[in-house]
Amino acid sequence: MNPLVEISCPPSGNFVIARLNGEIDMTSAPRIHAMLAGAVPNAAVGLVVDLSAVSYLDSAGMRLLFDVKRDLQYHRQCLRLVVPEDAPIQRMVEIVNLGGHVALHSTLTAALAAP
Amino acid sequence: MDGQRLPERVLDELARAGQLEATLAQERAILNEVVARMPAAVALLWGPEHRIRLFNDQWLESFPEARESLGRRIEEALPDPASVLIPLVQRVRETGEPFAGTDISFRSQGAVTLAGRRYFTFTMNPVPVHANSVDGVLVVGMETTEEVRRRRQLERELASERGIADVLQRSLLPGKFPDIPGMVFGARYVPGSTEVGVGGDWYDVIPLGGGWIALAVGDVVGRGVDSVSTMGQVRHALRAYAVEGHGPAGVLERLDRLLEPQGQVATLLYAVFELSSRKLVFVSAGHPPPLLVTPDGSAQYLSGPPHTPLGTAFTTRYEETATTLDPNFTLVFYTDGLVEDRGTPMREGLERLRRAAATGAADVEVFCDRILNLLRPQGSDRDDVALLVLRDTPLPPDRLRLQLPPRAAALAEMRSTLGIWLRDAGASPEELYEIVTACNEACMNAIEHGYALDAGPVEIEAECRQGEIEIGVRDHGRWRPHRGRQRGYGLAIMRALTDETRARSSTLGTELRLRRRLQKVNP
Repeated sequence: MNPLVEISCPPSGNFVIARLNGEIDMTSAPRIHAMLAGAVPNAAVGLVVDLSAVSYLDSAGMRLLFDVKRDLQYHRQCLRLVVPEDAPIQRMVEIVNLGGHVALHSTLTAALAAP
Repeated sequence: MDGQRLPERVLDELARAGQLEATLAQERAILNEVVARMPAAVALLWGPEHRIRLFNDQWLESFPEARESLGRRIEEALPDPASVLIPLVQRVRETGEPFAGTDISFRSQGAVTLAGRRYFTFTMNPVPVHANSVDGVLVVGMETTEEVRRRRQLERELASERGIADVLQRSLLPGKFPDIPGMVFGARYVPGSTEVGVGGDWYDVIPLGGGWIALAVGDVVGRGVDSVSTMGQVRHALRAYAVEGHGPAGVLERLDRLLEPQGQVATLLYAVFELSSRKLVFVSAGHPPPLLVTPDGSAQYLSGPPHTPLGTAFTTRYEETATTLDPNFTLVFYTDGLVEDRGTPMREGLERLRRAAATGAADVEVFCDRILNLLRPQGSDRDDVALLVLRDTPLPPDRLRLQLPPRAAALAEMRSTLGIWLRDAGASPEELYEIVTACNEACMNAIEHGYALDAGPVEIEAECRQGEIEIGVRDHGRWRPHRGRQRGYGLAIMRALTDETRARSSTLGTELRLRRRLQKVNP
């Protein structure tokens, strides 16, 4: 089992990358929120949350992503999500039209390269 | 005067008698000396009234109050000892048979007493003077009060250490198993014999979340309070490493490193099990292998690398063994006390366990009892035994009832159990995911109500009727349809994933009912 959140800062980067693992539900969402909250320095352009390895996402997980996006907006920073076509959470992303609220990319490279 | 002279014959007789008397006197002196020097209290009780006819210094030392007792009845001279001794002496007189007895006690003054009593070992021998009659009884006593006192103290100390270890041991074993539908647990812990004492055997079942559980059976080398407290340490460390998300090999590597500097050694069989796939991953550190019993009644050991025990730091890499079990299996974990008996090789014990388990039993409790009855060694030097049994039982096909306790892992466990039930009901992977997700949202609603009102647990009832799944999720709070935008998402998700989502609210609580028809009807 991998840790719930793996945070990295590529040397080139304006972005902080957070890779989430396992299930994001009512139980784990508050912990993940706490870990993401302090991860982004003021100098960064924003945060990329990689959801490729997330096996389950419920509405509490959605709420978490929206809260993170709102927090970042206070500091004029942006949130980008990585959700591959074949991600286990793809169906959920469609149901709640996540792409209508947060920028979605199918790969990490695409998320970092986006304007 | 000639006629007055005693005949020579008589003189001879007298002379011989005098010699004899001298010899007898000499003999008596020797005898008296022997009696006097005997390292035991000796007294000769004479006649039907048991008058004290003779005693030695030791007797006086043992019973100072008997100084003026020569010729007196023992009843008067030593009333308390007499009350115990007279019936014994009487029996020797009547039967003519000698008597020997230990721990004969009576009230008495003395340097050492136990609750005002002194303890003796007595032998009593008949002394016949005339043929066919017992005229006296020779009583020889050795005081054992000090030995009895030491023995009792030792017994108390042993009982006390054993008691502490026993209480400690039991307090460290899980009192209750996690409530996992479709899984039945059984376990036993039996302390070793009094001579051997409580050991460091233990078992544990740990819910890991995400539809996984961990099973452990271990044995800390050693006996008594120390090994039991080490066992407690290992058990809690194992729980911490397991919950932290380390796999079986990672957990064992860490426990090995934890124990090594302490000089403690333990064997351990550790496994994780995925409920939905029935995948078992196990590792052994010097522990006997798990036994798998299939519903057709065949039993076989699961083989894997044995490795060295924890704390030896010999194993650099623990190798995991993975296997997928068929439905309705029974898995048996145990400690060596069950299969190892002094005098018989472990191979024979393992074969006996295999045969005992293969007979099967519908009830897990009966199964555990039977195994213990058939296998547990009976000797005075038997080891302690821990036994853990896990049985996979089919979920009821048409109706599933679950309760969601108010704790963190409850939602993940619900998703896992409902998923297994839906799979068995014939739901496709997509349908399974969607129905589980809808139910998860309904449960989140109910939990929020429940937490707010501190009401009872959330109740879930799922039914499958002619290819249609209907799920009711009930709490004991009031339904609040919109509390911020997020709750709107929850309801939107439920509606998108079901054919119908309805809320029914009453004074007793709120029920959400979800309905979803499956594409393919399970035959």
